[in-house]
Amino acid sequence: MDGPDKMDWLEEELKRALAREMPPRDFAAPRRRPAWRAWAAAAAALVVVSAGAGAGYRQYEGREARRDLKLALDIAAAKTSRIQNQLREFSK
Amino acid sequence: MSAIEAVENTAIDFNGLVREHQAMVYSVAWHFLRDRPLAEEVAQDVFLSLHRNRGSIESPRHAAAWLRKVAVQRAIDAGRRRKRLPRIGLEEAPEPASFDPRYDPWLGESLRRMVASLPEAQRMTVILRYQEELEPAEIAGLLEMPLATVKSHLHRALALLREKLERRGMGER
Repeated sequence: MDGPDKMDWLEEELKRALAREMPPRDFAAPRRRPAWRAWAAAAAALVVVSAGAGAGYRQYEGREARRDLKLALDIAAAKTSRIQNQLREFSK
Repeated sequence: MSAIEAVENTAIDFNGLVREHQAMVYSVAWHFLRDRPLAEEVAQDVFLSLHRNRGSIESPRHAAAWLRKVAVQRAIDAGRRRKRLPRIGLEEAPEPASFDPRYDPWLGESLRRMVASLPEAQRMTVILRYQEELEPAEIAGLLEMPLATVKSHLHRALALLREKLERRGMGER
């Protein structure tokens, strides 16, 4: 920090890297459900939770894999773009 | 009562507050803890506290300040309770909304990991300064520490990050 208003490249990168993110689940998403149905749903959930745990975990793994792939593609795209720029500079 | 049920049963203003501030609350916890499920748990806990204390909230501005303070406290508490080291993995990289040629995702991810490895006070100071874009004096008020201490944390954190980046050949560009 060189001064109160001046930000250097690292501070600008930190601002970008630490940008706010939405949570995976919208806490304010409406879920209209009467109270008795909540109990019924809880009971049903208890029954299916053991059977569904495996499938849920596989889904979780799938989401994580997609996230990995997206980051890998972003990194590859950034590197390709940088190499293209360097090639353009060389060919001038 | 879960945070979601609390949201369902309350006035529309509460929903609005959740919608408006959920990214801030969640991101403070996520950048501090580097553990998405735990950050989500912290965020839910913060909104549940807001619901319980809604009578004492005087204005939307007060709510924003209250939520930020409680999010900071809960994230620090969760970090202290967690016995194991932060789980930092490539799988936890966020999804960029779109490709920005000025943004280097590798540098961004490296920075997030380095921030997560900073000591507790430096880490929260950096998050409040660069995620929340608070001035050092505001951070001092929020963390209840002298302004000079906040400036010192920021200075040390930036020096440490700069040194780590340079060691990895990712210095100034």
